Amino acid sequence: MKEANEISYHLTVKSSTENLAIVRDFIRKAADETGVNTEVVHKIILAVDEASSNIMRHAYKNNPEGEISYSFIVSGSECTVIITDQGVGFNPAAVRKPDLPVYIKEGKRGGLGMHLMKILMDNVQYESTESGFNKLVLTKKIA
Amino acid sequence: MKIKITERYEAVVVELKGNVMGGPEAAEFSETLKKLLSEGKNKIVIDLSDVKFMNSSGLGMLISGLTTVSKEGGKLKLAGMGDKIESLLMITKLITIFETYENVDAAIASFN
Repeated sequence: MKEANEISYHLTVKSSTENLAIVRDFIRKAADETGVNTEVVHKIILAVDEASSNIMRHAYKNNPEGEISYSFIVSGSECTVIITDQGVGFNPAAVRKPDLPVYIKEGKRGGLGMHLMKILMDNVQYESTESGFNKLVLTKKIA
Repeated sequence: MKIKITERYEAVVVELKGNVMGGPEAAEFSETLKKLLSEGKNKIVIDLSDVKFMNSSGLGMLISGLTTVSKEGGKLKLAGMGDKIESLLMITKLITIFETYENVDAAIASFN
């Protein structure tokens, strides 16, 4: 059986919030090159931005000298973005779904990112490897 | 993100420009709202028509703003949001908590 064509793009940036615009551009261009439709592209960009912001803030504790690597892969009808960092790992199971009425009542600001990522993408997987890498895999059907 | 304040009739238009992504700018936005409220200006329209990108932190900033203004008996309305922000509010089911208008003029008119 013939394997589906696969195309991939890669980017590594420092963990400075100033690089978020570069990351968004990278995803936009890679998605455009591979013909992903605009609405889906926006969802992927937003999910990757949320993931990146979380890594900068929580994994690297706002230290702008960490490294974050991105792989954007389109294979068949699926788009996968793999994001790796070497910051502090976390337990995704410990991230509770936000209680929106409480959010609104208390006027809270943070904590929506992981929730949003899960809504925007079809699958979100996270693992911390023994070699000290954290790997987040975001997957979205594109057809 | 840039913030521009314009008073129009009895309402105040807070125009946000660029990328709305929380961070230190969220504190500036919050301070802006508190200052307006302390001056008795509690009919507030947030103009989003020049916002290029908004993430969950930016969304949190708006929720926080809505809560702050509501607690002081004021009204905060959103105007001119593009498809992307509307989609963000829809998928997070937050569209129902905000009063939204197509443009600033419609939002201001709604105060009367």
